[in-house]
Amino acid sequence: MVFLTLLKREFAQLLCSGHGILPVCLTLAGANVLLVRFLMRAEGMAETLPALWGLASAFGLPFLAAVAASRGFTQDRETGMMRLMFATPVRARSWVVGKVSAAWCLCVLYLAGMAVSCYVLLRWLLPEDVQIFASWQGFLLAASALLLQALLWCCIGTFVSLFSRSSASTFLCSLASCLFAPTVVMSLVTMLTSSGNLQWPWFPLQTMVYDCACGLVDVRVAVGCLTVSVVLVYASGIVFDALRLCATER
Amino acid sequence: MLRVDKATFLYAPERGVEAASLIVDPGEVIGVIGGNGAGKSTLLGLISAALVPQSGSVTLSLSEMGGRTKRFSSSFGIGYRRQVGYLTESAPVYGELSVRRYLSFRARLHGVGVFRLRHRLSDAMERCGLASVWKAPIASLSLGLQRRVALAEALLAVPAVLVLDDPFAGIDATQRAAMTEIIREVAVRSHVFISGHDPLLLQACCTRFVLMERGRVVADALDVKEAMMRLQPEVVQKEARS
Repeated sequence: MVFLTLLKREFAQLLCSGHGILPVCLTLAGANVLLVRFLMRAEGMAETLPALWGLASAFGLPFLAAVAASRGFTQDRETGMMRLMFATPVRARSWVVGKVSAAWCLCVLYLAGMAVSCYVLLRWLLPEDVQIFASWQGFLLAASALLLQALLWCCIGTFVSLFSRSSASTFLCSLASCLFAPTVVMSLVTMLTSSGNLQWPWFPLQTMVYDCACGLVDVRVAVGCLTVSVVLVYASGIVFDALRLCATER
Repeated sequence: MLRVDKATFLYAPERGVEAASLIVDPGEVIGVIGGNGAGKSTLLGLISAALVPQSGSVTLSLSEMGGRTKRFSSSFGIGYRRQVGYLTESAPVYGELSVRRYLSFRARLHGVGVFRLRHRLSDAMERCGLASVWKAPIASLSLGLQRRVALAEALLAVPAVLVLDDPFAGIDATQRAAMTEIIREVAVRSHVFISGHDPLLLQACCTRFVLMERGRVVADALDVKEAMMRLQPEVVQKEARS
């Protein structure tokens, strides 16, 4: 019940603020331009529409998630609301989950927008003689992978916002983490655990969406995303309590 | 009865509150006075459970907001926090929300049920004189009215402990008188703590004063004259001379 109240409030506040509708529109515009370019290049090739749609959406997602999540606790710190939050009879985890889910809902809004614009593009703007393969299954898999990634980015952004003093620095830190942390972490894990020369792509999660849409689902990556998200939510709750214990709300 | 027993919270050595002890009965209004950096806000933070004491405890009847232990968990002190109304120094509010929506949101967080919500909201808004502006966005209200919204929020939970950190800062005499009236009404069944720099401003609603210096409670149960003598001796001497 408290979680729903927080989610409703946070999402409404997010939409009204500069971190809401405007970034969604800008990201949608950018992702659609990318999609059109992908479609133009895909002519005569064996690319599928869900894969191109997923890839175009995946590049906009970290930016949007970083913007949405950068508001998180930083805003409360800036307005002096943190001390009031400490005195409110709500568990730290509820605050964290409320903020993460509000940012995640914004990402869902963006994906819904991408779906609508893709439909419009295919229905009215694409020449009739162009043939491109598409399946509902591919779209569903791509959307699932994107939603999972959005959750991860939102968790990272919210976690960073607990430490940061301004929205701008939170945005930059979480964007850098979103874009490069997976590559760095995966490369480090590979280096430490295997002796092979396994090379990770620069944007492994974006590539994962492309593969998912083509039917190549890597369960390990999905489980990894989910696990890291849960760990980050738990860690954020601990950090919130630690802030309360140290009274570093300013 | 509310008991603060050797509660300590230090941000750094000699910064914060050290071994503060108080016993307060329901119906008492305590004025916590002292200079800048004396530890008033920290003491009120401890009483409101926004801060967790590093040692010592704050106890209200059976709900304890005790010192931290190795078993500290997130739900620690929630029972106590449900009984506290807190107006912070900066009185932050969500400016883009209307008065009613903001109070409704805060009431839900305090665990006020759906059936009681309407009654609690109208009661708090009526008490604080906000009934005529309930639809207005908080940001469009004057500073005094915004403070009243923050006060209404503190009253929503029908608190057993009402903590007001410098409530009269930046508001005019009329608003101050109205606020004093509200505090007196609430004080009948609650433990009320008000901080401030000037005992004369607080005397209309306080039953006794607690003086703080360098993080310690140096005097308890002072009346307004004694408080003035301890806090602003030059002013009292000047008045006596004149």
